[in-house]
Amino acid sequence: MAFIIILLLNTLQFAMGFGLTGICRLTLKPALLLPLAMLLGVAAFSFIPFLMQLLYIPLTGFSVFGMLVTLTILCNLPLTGVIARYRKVFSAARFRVRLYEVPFFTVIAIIVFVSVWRCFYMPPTPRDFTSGAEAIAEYAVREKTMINSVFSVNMESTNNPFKPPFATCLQIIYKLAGFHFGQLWLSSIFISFIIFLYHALNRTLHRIISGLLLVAFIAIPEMFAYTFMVLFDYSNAVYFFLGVYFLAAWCSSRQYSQLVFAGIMMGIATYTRNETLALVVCMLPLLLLCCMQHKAGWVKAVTRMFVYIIPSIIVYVLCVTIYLNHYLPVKYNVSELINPHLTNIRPLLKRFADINTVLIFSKNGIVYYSYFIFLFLALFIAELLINRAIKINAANWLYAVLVVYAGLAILGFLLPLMDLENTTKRGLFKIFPLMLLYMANNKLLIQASRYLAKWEQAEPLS
Amino acid sequence: MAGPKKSLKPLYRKIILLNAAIFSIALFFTFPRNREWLRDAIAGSLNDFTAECHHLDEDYRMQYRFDSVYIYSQQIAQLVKRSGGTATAVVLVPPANYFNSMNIHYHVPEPVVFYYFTGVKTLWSNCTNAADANWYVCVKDGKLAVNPAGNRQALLDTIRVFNTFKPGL
Repeated sequence: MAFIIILLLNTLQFAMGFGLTGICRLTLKPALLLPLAMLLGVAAFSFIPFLMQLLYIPLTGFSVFGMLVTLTILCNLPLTGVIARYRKVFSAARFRVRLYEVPFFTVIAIIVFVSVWRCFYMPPTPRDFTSGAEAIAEYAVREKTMINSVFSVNMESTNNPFKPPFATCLQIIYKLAGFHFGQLWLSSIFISFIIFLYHALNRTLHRIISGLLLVAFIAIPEMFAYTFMVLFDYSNAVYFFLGVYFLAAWCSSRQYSQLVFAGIMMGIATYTRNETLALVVCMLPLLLLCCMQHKAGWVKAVTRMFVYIIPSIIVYVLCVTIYLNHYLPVKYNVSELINPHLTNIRPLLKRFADINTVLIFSKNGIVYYSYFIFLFLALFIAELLINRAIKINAANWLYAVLVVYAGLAILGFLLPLMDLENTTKRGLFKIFPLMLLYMANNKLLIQASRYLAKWEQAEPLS
Repeated sequence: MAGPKKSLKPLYRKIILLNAAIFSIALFFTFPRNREWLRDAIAGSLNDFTAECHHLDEDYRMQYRFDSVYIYSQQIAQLVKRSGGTATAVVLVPPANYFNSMNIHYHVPEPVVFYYFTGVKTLWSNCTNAADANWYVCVKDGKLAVNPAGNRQALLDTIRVFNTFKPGL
């Protein structure tokens, strides 16, 4: 029974996401579009209980699922057009497994199985979750509102109930569907994300290189743990990556829909962790640079910046300015979290040094992230030494890596509550998919891929 | 004769690539941290899978995951209910160091987590409104016990005693 419910829920999420990609007029290869529809569907679902709460609609099973089904249908109107689109996408989809992909798929399937099982079996564990989103979701199901008795409990030891409602809302939906521990939405995100990544890598690399890089990515110990220990950071990394992916895609294709989609993805990333807004803003120079390359005038450049940034600002205003300040019964002043001594930059330098010495270039770094960062550095240095130039596509990803690397130190300085051992350690998850996509644009790996493809009797790169 | 030979050639190369894929995965997991992760996070979880399939009860899974934190919290909640505590019960819980000194290893969850586990509201002795508690937890004869807070002075004395133990998450 649980299997049927999860299947129905995922189908509904996929349908909503697919409908939304159609509304955004996003055209992608089916191998990228299908997992993206799922990721978008999960994110869209997470907004619905929140918006219902803002309108004070009671969160019952009937009202929540009624709303989800209605909105899914609305996203897929007119039905004839969507059916034709489904037909077009599925007829264009080619799911052919090559012999040498089997070992990678086997290893990945085993890892995914472990993650999904633990996600289903174990209750939500991280303290940041049980003292916030999970407690609110549990009592929201009982009391039919997100503004519930949890807020009458002493909260001097935690600020977690004031985190954005992304995970709370998904927990509510899954609990209402009969999954007491919720969480399984994280597996949907995880699986869809690795499918998306694999096909994104395959665009430039030979599948044997893609497979190995993907295994290396999935096997980042700390990041893997958060594919079944539900929290905000894995989802945040996924949606931030997608924002960068479509921003980079827009830079090379100039398809307006991709810029719109980049903005939407960044909005979702801000919804998973509000402080991501700062990183979204830090990506603006890349957008500006692309506008200059496209020889767009200032008016066009400003309009494009506006299109890109506005979803994140709307989400931030909804979650912080409106929800925190006007809905929650307990006052939580975000401005009090900001470091009052911004002229003293010594803590910034210390945080930056600590990120390097404690989290990256240390024994702990290997324990947390294995050798992934070193693999990235090795490929980057090799490309610099051998080719003495970086392709524009690779440079875009390197810039995004730099934004996260420096941005986390700056955020830690601005918001002292963002500690090193927890928030920053998990914040670094955002950097890994960006590093992975840099590798996909690394000239040496691309050359090796071409050589392999030629050797394999001119099989074209997908 | 030339036809089959031509079609065999790519297959032969694909088999070489298959071997290369197997070899690269094997090589990847020879690195110490990767091997350790495979053993602990993947093989370890697969080993637990069969046993876990036989214990799908949600309360068992909570106990399995949170261990004494969940078990003792449940015990306290049951004691409060058995002692006549109503929905308005607010229980003062001493710091973990207090329990440690009594040989009870209970990592006291913060009030929100305790509420999530049990539905009972608690306060730590270092909370600003600790004096609002109407019950308190202590250890008597090596066992957990809950008592009504009594008059305000008695409660303040209890808070003072609890505060001599270092609080913390």
